Amino acid sequence: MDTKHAMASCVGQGLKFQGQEIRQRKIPNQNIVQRFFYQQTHTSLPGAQFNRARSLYTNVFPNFTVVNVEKPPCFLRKFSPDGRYFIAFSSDQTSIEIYSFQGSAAAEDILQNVKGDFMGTDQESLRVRGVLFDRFFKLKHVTHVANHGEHLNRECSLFTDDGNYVMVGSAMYIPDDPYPLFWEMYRNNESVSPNQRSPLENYSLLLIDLETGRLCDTRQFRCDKIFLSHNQGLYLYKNTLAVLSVQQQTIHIFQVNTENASFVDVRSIGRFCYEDDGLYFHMGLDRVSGQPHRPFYDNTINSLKHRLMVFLYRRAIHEGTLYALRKFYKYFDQFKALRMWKMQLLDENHLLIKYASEDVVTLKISDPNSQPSFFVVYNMVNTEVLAVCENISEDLLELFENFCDLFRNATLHDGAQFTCSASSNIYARQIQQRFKHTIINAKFGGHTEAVKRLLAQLPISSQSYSCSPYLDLALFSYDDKWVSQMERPKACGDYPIRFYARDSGLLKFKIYAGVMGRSPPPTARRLVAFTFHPSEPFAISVQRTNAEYVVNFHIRHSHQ
Amino acid sequence: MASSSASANAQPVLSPAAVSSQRRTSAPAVKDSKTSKQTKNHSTSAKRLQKELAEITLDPPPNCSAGPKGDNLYEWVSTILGPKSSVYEGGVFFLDLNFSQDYPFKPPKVTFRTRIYHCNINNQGHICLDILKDQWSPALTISKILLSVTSLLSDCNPHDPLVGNIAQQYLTNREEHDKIAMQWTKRFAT
Repeated sequence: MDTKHAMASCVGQGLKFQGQEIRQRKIPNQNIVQRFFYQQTHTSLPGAQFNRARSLYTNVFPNFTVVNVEKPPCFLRKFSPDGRYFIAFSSDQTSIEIYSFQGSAAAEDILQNVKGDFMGTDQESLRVRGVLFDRFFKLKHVTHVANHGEHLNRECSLFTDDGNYVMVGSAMYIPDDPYPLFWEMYRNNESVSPNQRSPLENYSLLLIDLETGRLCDTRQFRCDKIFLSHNQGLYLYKNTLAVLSVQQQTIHIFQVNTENASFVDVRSIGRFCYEDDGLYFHMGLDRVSGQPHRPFYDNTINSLKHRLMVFLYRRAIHEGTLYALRKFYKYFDQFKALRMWKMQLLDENHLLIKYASEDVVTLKISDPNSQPSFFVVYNMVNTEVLAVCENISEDLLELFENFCDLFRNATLHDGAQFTCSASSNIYARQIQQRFKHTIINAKFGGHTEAVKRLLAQLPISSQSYSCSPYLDLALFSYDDKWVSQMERPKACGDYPIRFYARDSGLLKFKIYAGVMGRSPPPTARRLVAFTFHPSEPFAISVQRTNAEYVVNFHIRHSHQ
Repeated sequence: MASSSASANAQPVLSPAAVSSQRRTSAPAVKDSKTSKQTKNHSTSAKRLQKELAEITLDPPPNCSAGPKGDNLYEWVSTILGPKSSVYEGGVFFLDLNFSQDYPFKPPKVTFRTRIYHCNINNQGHICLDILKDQWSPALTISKILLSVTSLLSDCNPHDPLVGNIAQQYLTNREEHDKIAMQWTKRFAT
C-alpha cells in the first residue's frame, strides 16, 4: 500500500479529490484461520449464510494447471450435480462411462515438490500427466447404451435433482433406403418439411442409474427432429421431462420416476392438448368412409395452435378497437404458419415455447435471431395460453432481467443451481447492461436490436449453467470473454485467465486453457470448453483444434 | 401500352390477390375486349367485398366478426362465438371464407378451421348448408352467411346430415350427443 501511496504523491496527483481525502479501501482479512474463527464466533445475517460460507472459496482455489493430461479414449462430459460422479462417452459414442471423483486433493502426493502454477509439456511432467486422470477418476461402470447404429450426442446430458440418474440422448440418421413412409414423416398437419440442413433422425432417450451403471429405461422417437445438442430440445424440471419434437411439432411430457427408475408417459402436446383428446376426437369421425384417418390432411387447426389463436382473438377483442381485430385477421395466416422452435419448462405446469417461421425451425436461415419469433407461456394442466410476446417485447425483457433466476430455475437453497444472474448479482447485471449498451451504440444497432439479442437467450436450456463458486461473480472477477457460467465452448485466449477476488481485488489464481507456448494454425478456430466441479476446486478444460483433443486439469496444489 | 395488355392477358392464371393488386395498377390502361368482362367481374366483386368489409366492421352481427387475411380481399377469416344455451357455448370457432371473382353471383367457400362436433359439419370443416350451395342468392351478404351458420349451430339439421353417425346419435341419443359436443367445444374450440 505504501508504495502505491508514494507513487501517487510522486506523480503529483495526491490523494485528494475536490478537497476531500480519498481513503484507501481496506482489504478484508484474507487469513483462512482467522476466517474460520470468525465464522465460529459470529452468526451471519439471516438468509446470508450461503454467501458467507461460499466466501471461503476465495481461500481455496484451482491454482495449478496441468496441460495435456493423458486420458482414456473417451469424450469427457460433466460432473453429476452432487459432484460424486463424472460421466464420459466412449470414443465410439455408444457407451457411457461413469467415473467416481476421488476428491480434489487426490494427486497432491505426486505433485509434492512441484513449484509454480503451471506444468507444461516438458519431459519431467510426463510422469504426472500419465497418471493424473487415474488419480482423480476411478472407472466404475461402462454401459453400452446406444443400439441400432445410434450414436450418443456428446453435448447432451441431464441429471435428476437427486443426482442418482442421468439422461442421455442418442441419434442416427435415417438411411436413404428404405426411406420412411410419408405418413411416418408427416404425422400431423403442422409437421415440417425436412431438408439437407436438418435431416430426419431416429432418437433414443436413455435413463441410466449412476450408482449401478444400469440402463433403466428408454424412449424412442422415430423419424423425428429433436435438438439434442446443449439440451436444447430437452428440459428437466424436478421430475418433469419435456421433449420437443420439431419435426412433428409436438411436446412430449414425461415423468421421471426415481423410485423405480423409469419414464412415465404423461401427455403429448401439439395436435391435442389433453391426454384423452384423441378418444373424443375419434368419436366424431365419420365411420362410414372406411379409409384410415390421416391427420396430415386435417383442415382444422391443431389444439395447441388453436389455443394460441383464441388467445390472440380475445386479446384483440379486449383491446376493443376495430383496428386490433382487423390486425388479428390480417396476420391470422402468419400466426397459423408459426412452428415451435424451442421450449423450456418454467415449473411443473408451465411451458415457455418459442415459435418462429418454418424456415427458421428447419435451419434454412443462417441468422435465425434476426427473424421475428414469439414467446408463448402455456399451462399444460388446464391447457391455457397465458401470455404471448414478440421477441422485441420490452415487458418480457424486463421480466427476464429482473427474474432471470426463475428462467434458469436457480434457487439459493440448491447448491447445484446457485443463483448468480443479472437479477441476483450486481456484477452479472453490470455485464448484461454493458452488453446492452454495446449493441445500442453499435453500427446497425439500437434499442430494439438490443432487446432482440437479449431475448434470443430465451428459452434457456436445462442445466446449461455451471454453479461452480469460482465462476460466481460475487466471489471472483474474471473476463467473461474467455470463461463464463454458461457451459458453452469459448474462444481460447493466448494468455491465462486471471481470477481476482471480489472482496480484496487481489489476483487469486490463473487458469491456463489450451496448450501454452504453442502457436496454433491461424486458420483453425480455437475453442475451449470448461467443466467445473460443482463445489470443489477442480476444473477440466478441453480444447479442440481440428482433430486434436487437449485436456487440461486445473487443480488445487499448495506449494509453499 | 403493349406491356399493359400483355399483363392483362396473363391475368387468368394469377391468383385473385395478384389480380386485384394488378388491377389497381394497370386496369385504367386495359382496353382488351377479351378480358374486359373478367375485369368487370373483378371490379364488381372487389367493390362489393369492400362495401361488405365496411359494413361488417362497423356493424358486425352478434357474436360474429370477420376480416380479410393479409392484403387479399378475396380470402377472409371469421370468428363465430358458440351461441348461448347451445352445446357450443363458450367456444370460439374460426372459419375461412374464400370468394371467387364471380362473387356475389357465386357463393363463397366457407369452411370451419376449428374442430366441431356437428352433424352438418365434417372433420375437414366442410359445411352442409343450402344457402352456400343451390339456395345461394346474390342478395346474401357475409353477415347473413355468418348468421345462418350461427343458427345452424343452434339448430342442426339431422335429416340432411354430412356426418351420418353424429346425426343418428342426435336423433336416437340426444343426451350422449350433447355431452360429446360440449366436450369437443371445451377441448377443441377454446
